Amino acid sequence: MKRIILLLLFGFKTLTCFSQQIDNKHLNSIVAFLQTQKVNDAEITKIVNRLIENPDLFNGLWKDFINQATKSESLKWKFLNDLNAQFKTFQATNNQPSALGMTYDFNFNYAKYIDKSNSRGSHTFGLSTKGNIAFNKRLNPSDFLETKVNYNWSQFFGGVIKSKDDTAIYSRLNVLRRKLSNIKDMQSNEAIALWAEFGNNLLLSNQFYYSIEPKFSFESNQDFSKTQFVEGLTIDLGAKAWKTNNPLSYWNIFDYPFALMRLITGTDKEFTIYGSTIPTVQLNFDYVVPSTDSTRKSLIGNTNPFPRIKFETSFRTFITRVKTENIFFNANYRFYHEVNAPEAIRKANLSSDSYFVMALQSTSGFYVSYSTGKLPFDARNDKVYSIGFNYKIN
Amino acid sequence: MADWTNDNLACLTLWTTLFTMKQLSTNFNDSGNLKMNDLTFYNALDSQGLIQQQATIIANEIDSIFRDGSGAKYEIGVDRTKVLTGMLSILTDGNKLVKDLASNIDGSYKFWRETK
Repeated sequence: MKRIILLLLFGFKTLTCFSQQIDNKHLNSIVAFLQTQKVNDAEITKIVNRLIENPDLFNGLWKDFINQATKSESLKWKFLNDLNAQFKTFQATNNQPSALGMTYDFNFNYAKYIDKSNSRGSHTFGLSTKGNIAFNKRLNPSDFLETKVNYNWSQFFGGVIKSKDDTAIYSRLNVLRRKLSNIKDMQSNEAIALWAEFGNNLLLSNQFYYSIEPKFSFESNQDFSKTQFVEGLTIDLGAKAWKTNNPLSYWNIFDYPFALMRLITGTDKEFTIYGSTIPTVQLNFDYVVPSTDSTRKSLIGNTNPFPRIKFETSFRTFITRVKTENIFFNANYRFYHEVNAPEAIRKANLSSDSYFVMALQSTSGFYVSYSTGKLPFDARNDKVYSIGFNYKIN
Repeated sequence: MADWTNDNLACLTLWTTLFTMKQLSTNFNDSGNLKMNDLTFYNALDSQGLIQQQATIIANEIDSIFRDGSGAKYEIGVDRTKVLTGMLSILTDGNKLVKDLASNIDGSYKFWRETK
């Protein structure tokens, strides 16, 4: 296998017309030198074999090839910029001999944007693949090769209203920016008046957002005797009322108590609902691979992948500023539901899980939090705080 | 580390944009050293997927305000993919500073009447 790789690298170099003779020359001169030293053919073969077992030889050839190929004007080798390959010596277990192999990591992304008068859309496509392969298949490492393909279609509506008299407005906005930057108290009458004028020149509007992202991943061991295909879908939904006192912001009922707190503490001079903190939503349809879930194995006798829906939403808003500390309220809710769960899983109340956490948090890390519910087995690392009230001072 | 100064239009425009979007409430001088997790959108209780979603919304609105509302253009050799990828890498890192974002933006946009 390593000879094939070596030949391919020489071949690539020849195809791209880059210094194709250098490495042949080096090998030939080594062999010629050994012959002058009266080393027999069998010994020369051993020495050359040892040389081509050395990952540094392949890494040098590969680096040379990439440097030459990406320097060329031709676009056909440009994809190599997204490919990381490194030749290594692997040892699958302590008892096995080491073997030459390679680790690879390829990431390719493409994006296309479509702007219309009141919307901005984008198509993005991504392909990533990574893994480790030993050239002797008996000595392959025990990890999996992974290939992922994802596509994303997203669209934003609104956000900014483009002015007709651009030149005068852009210049005025710059003047206002400079004046505002010299004011220390953002609640002073001068600052409030300037921000009002700023808002009359920079016209923001309600913004709506959605995104759909199907994902596919394929995992296999190196000889493809074990394979796993996993598909998923993520849907994002969001709305923001960027303009103060816009009717959409009044639907943000979660912010009402905090608007009152901002008014009482003097953070805002008027009762102001923040439309920028309207909760957003993310829905995921995934295949879960519960390979280490011993509870599941004891209940249904296997750890086969299963389909699951996840819903997540969150809310965060500003409460007040005390000296240099900003105080925020944070909340997050997640719901998980296994689709067509086996009866044993349902009876054990493991087919659905929900988790809610909220926290008061300051800039320096002080927080008070409360959480309830539980996360499914595979998502427990995402748990932020334990059940009950907590406080922590950093 | 980037300089946070009101002589720089990237700093000024970013600060007024984040203020208008209710992402911060501090004066100019106090805003450069705010971390991303001090901005209103960054909820540390969220999964990485939801933080990415919030950052995407913020990055797109910043780009709209700069280009459609404030007359900024992309620098030569810069496109929206590069701009949004750069902004997202900072917005999703809770420990990055507002002035880091300004530095990234300064290299991506030519602001209205900006002289370099």
